[in-house]
Amino acid sequence: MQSSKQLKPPVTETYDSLLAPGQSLNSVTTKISDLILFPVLKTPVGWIVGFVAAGLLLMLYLYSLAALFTYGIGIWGINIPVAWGFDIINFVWWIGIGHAGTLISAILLLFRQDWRTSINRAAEAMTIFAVACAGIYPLIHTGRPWLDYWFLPYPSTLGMWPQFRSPLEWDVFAISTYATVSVLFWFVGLVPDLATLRDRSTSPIAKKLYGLFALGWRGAAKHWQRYEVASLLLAGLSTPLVLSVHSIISFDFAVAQLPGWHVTVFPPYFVAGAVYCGFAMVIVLMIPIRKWFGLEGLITMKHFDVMSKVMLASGMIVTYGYFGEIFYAWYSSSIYEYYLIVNRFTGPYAWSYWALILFNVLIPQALWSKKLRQNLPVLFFVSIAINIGMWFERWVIIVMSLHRDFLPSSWAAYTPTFYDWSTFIGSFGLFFVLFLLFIRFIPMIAIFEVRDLVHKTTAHPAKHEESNHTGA
Amino acid sequence: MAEQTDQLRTTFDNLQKRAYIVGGAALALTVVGIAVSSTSQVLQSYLFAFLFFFGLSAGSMFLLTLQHITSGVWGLIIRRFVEAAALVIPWMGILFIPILLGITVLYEWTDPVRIAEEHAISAKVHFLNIPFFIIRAVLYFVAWGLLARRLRSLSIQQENAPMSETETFRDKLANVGGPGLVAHVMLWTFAATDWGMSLEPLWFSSMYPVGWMIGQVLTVFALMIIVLWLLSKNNLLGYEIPVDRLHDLGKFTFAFTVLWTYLNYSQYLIIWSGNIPEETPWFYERTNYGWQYLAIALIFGHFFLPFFLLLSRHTKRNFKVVARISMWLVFIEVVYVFWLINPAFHKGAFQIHWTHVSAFIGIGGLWVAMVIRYLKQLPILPPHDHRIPELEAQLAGHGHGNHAPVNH
Repeated sequence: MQSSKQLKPPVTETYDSLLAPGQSLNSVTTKISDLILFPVLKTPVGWIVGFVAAGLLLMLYLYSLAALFTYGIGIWGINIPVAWGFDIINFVWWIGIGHAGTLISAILLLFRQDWRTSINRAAEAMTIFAVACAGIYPLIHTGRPWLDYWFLPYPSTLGMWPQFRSPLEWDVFAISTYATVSVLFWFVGLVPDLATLRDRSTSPIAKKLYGLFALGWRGAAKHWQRYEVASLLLAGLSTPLVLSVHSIISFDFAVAQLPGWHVTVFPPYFVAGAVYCGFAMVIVLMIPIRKWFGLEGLITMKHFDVMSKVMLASGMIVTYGYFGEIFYAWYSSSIYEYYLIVNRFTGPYAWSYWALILFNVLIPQALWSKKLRQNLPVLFFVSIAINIGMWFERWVIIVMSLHRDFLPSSWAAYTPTFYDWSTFIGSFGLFFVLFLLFIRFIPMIAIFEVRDLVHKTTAHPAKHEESNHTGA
Repeated sequence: MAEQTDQLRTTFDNLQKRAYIVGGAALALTVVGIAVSSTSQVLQSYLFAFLFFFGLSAGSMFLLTLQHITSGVWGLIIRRFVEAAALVIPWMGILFIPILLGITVLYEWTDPVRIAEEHAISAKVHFLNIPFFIIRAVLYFVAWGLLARRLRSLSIQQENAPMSETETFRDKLANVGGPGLVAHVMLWTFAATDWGMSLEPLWFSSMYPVGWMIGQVLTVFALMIIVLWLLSKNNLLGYEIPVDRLHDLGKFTFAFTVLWTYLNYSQYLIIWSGNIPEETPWFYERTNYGWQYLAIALIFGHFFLPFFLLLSRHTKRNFKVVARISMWLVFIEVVYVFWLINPAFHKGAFQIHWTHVSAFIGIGGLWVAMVIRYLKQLPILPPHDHRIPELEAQLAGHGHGNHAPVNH
């Protein structure tokens, strides 16, 4: 990393393969571990600048939380009827981002998709950090976060017992399970690479630390066999979680009677939206990382092409969801459902609905074109647009449905305050601090999985073809 | 490997002839039902049977377009079958005519009295009216027909072009398949709303077309496994299915079983929790008065049984076993469609009539015969598909142990 400037060869893009030509077992290990294994004092300036910037945002976040705990949720813009505002929008947005990591690591493992290998590690890390950012919102949203343990069912002398019919209670279990399984899956996948770092690092402290977390991995056949079983089981466990977590979040809205929330197609549409936004975030993170660290040989244009296709497919499902909301609201002939659509199209927040359509429906249509899919600046722009669009989607669903419900006498407007914004922007600080620490100290690409891919493509090209059959 | 053998042609010819005869006779018997029973009963039975077999063609269209945009060999194996089933859609348009003739008998929203007394029906009159309903139906069949024909004509061109052009055709087919899949989903959404959901015009659910569509796709996967098994068993396929590809089809069947359950369960949960008068009657009718036994049968038969049976790698890789499970899945989908449609006509009491069976056999016979008509036209394994070399490598590279055992 420190010497990447003088060493960087001219970039030749690979379009039809998951590895650029000329990769060997040794070059892969050297390339990835050299990005980490150098003295702390030689950390590049770029990383330090990024870390300081992210750290400042984190400070803003901590300041906002301190203010919240001191003064209460009155410092936010929420009111009655708009009792859910930025907190829940950001919660749903962040947790949606996490979904791509789980999809890449679990579902694509089960489907034996080789294109996951170079991107799964970073995507899983993104998942865990995004879930951390997400999980904080519902906890602070309660207003008295020191009482959040009341969510848990335990025999309490207070006679407190959670309402198990409420999807908000299901969230407690869904998200904590999701976070636990994601961390376990990520860590299990890290063990062989941590052992590689232990063996390659020259600093005694690094050797000790990596060795500690490598759990005595020696690369014995028995270790590998257990590793394969464990990762397959964890993939099996994670797969339903990809669907269940966001489905339960959609139930938070859909089991209510409010027009705009009570929509039966919400569960798959939320899951698709999560995958959509999550893949967009993976691309937003991967394009600069790949360039800065010279990873063009390991993350090829083929990866971006496949990810764009997943994004396009999930984007079309999301678009179908928007269509379903409008069509069935009209078809229902219920005046409340119908008014919801009128309000979205022409109400005081109509601009945000049209922004959603622009960012989430119109701009991503560019992905139909293979040429545009393989143009990284365009892809970066489209992915940013999707991230913004998916934030607007949650804004539209939450704020626009709540602010005008059944009774016109209870209608109200919602305006986010400084603290709403600072709690949102600050959460990027938490995310990027964690992510920068990750790329500094942990191999951001799974070394042994890419080595396995090198082995398969060079030693047994025919066999590799065969294992790559299930299709994208 | 490419050409259809004489034996296969003879089998197809015989089967087609029998299907025409059985189908025609059963339909004639169904018409007799008008005299013996009632016109409305016959139309109800006919609608149920039509929607089931239309669903097989619709599910085939979904998979046909999907396999053109993904690149798995599983798609190569089923390509000709789903193509043939999708080509039947325009003919299904002809079979739809009796439903149009009986529209006032079947659909409550055509009744002026109901329109006058029920605001929610009169409010829908711009959408749910007879001329627009007919125009829409014609549009659906034309659009589907054009899509199926376009893909077929590319297939025929591909057959006549040399193998060197296979990648051009792959791209051409993918370019039609992608937008085609989008078009299919939209067409089905409107068709399901018109033909099924509007039977109870007060009720609406945006999940309804989606849950049903996934059931169709699941059934087509199951049907493909059965057909491939029957052909393999009788040495008519011309090649042996690699066991990994059979495993793929089994995995898809498993995944779609779970997906079907997920969608249908979510719909139930949301409507049950919301508990509002526009929505709950639909489920109330279907979970009381004897209909609940079908609902319970669906929970166990459409989810638990196939889920646990298909969970094991062993069953998915055993041709005979997975074919048996697939037969069950097709049967339980018939129950599902019956449960979706028939309670709309028989609120308050479970009902089944012999014309349900005769109409089912009738439309089914004609559907099978029409599918065979298209199957006979081209080799059942497209010889110039870009995935052929991959399949050949798998067939050659594996030795004998890796073919799916057929267990005669």
